[in-house]
Amino acid sequence: MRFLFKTNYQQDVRLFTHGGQVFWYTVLGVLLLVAPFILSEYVLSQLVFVLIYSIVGFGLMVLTGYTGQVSLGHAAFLGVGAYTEALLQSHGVPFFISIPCAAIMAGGVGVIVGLPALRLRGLYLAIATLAFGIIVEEILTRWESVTGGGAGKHVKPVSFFGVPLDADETFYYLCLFVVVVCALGVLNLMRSPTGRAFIAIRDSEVSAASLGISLARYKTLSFAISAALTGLAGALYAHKLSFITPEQFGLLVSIELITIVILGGAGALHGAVFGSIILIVLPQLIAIAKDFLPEGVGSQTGLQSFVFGAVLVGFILFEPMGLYGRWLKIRTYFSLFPFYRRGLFRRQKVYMKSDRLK
Amino acid sequence: MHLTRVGLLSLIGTLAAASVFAQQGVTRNEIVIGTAQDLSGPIVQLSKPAVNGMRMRVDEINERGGIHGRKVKLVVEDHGYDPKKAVLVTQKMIQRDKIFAAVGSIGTPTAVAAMPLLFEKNVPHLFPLTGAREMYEPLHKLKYSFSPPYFDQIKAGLKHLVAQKGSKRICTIYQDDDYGLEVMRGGEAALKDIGMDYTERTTYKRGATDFSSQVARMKEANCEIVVVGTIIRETVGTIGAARKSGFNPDFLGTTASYFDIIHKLGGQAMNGFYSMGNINYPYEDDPSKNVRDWYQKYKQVYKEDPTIMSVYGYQIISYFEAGVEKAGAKLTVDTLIEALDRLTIPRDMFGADEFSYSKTKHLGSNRSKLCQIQEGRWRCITDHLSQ
Repeated sequence: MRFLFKTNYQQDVRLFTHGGQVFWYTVLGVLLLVAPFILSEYVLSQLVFVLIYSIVGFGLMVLTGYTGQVSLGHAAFLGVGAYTEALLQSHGVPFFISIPCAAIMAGGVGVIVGLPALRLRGLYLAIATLAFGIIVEEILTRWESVTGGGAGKHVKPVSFFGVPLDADETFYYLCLFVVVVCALGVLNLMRSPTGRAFIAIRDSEVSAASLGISLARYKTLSFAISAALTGLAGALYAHKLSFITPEQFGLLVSIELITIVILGGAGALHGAVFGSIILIVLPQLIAIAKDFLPEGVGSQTGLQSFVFGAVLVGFILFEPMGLYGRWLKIRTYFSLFPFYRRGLFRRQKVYMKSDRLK
Repeated sequence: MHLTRVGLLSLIGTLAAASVFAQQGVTRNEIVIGTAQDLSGPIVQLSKPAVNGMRMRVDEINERGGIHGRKVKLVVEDHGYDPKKAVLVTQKMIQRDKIFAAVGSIGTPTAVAAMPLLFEKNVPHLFPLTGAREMYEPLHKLKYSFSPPYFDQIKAGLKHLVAQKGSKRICTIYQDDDYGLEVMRGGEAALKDIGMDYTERTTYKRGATDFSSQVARMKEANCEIVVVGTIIRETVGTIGAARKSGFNPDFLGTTASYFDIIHKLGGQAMNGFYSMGNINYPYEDDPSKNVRDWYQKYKQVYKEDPTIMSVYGYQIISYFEAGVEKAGAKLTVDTLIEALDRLTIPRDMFGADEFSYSKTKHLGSNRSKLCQIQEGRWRCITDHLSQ
């Protein structure tokens, strides 16, 4: 077991707390860099989807995992990002300008949604964001002159000064770069005063307000950052899929995005990545496993949704802290062996009672 | 050392040569084909019988010993009507299963998302289960269409119906998406040709269950024919609401509402509903003995009655078979395309139109016939209509 002796205040805010972490993240980084050379195109393509969904996961993690606000309309931000990118690209804007624009556009829309969020909490906020998602899908369908309506819109591959970067490897590196930048950005945010304020709001709005944190300002900010990250992912999604329709950004997708956070584990960026891996890889594993199952079971309709639903319910019942929470427990179990206690990770939140006064 | 290098080089040489001549998905005794279906999404009740129909024909081919000695292996994947999953399963089929061709995949957005991936790897996209025009337009050497486009269906059907009934006031109700718009525009084109226009246009959003306000508006306008860009539940809902309010125009739909579930769900009220159909609806007591035998065989294997989707699935594999048969013993994508471009498929026992493809025409036939629900079952009252 490892003992960390803190001798310096800087140690509290460092990205890596000890040498072991530096080592393992370097290994991961190298593996990701050489991935295109060792993986087949099929696996690489899934990896690209995992990267894109990780960015959405980061966005939702900021909003739900850290600030404690629910959103059932995140697919709408994905859609705003995707359509902004498609539009700008069709007007010849290079990708290093259009992709940030997609993020800014989605962030701007996020501010608008953030405004009612200041007045609503819990279930009511969920309903408001749900309505927002439906409105955006409707706008994407009706505004035919811009979005192409229900017939959809084609998106060309990313091009760099007229040279199309349509190879899978190049696009993979672009996504990887964006993911790393976003991850570092969010990590940085969370160790700044702003991030601390988000966490304070999540844990107790009353105590946060009494500490002088402006609830309105920080909630809006949280929505904006979350939406901007999702919009960024939307721009990459549009390129990856090369064909977008409004129905790809409907309610079901919003729920799918929420499952990233639930399956992965709210409250840590690792959770976002784990959640995206499950979301993308599980259906593929089911598809592959189907070939080995007996004919009667393998060709059954609804098999995929059933297994996926069972996994989701299983997590909510037995591991509410998600995959990352389970990993933390396993790791602690071994490092503390034989002194691990069952109640070690139980959340103690006595101050919640004060919130009831509101 | 020198020897191994020579060995290695010759090995690479052989591999390169093999990859030039070998065709993905085709071996000496097997052809692997793939189909992307919706086995967990909103149109699972269409996909399931279609897959059964496809399997039935595949089994028949294999029992006979295959095509030119090659058995057919059908890989079925589930995309749940989600374009993102369609992209992933298409990649799986291309790279893991090494399919020779994608055949009979369902859904418009899913097919449009999957096609670029297929074409990049030189895999043909054959006979998809959708009536969208993107399935053969713009012309691409690897895409061949199956269903007559909704636009052409309604254009021919409406012209025929107006001429026959002498109706003056034509209205429409359509679903507010690409499908509904295709139907509405097809009708618009027909009316423009005869110097008319819609009297009233109404729309609804996908998933709507109440159509009384649309029906009231069309009743107010005294419509004589109503073009319906609806699918199953909405068709039953609209016609039901109209009959209830004593509004009895002629309703005309496309192959997307040409299902027996319409009269099973809607009962008596559905009598008189017109839809465009590309084949005769299969019933257990079909006048043709071949169809009756086919029906019984299907029922025996799958323990349920076939629907029209089963027939489509069966036909799609038959057409593929005809193409491969014609391509000869040396089967590659090039020989298949060359064969398909010279292919003509005569009318079959199900009453389909003659399909013919050429280098510049990848739509088998754009003709469909006018069918009507009479006494609780579909009956086609015209032959295939030309525009």
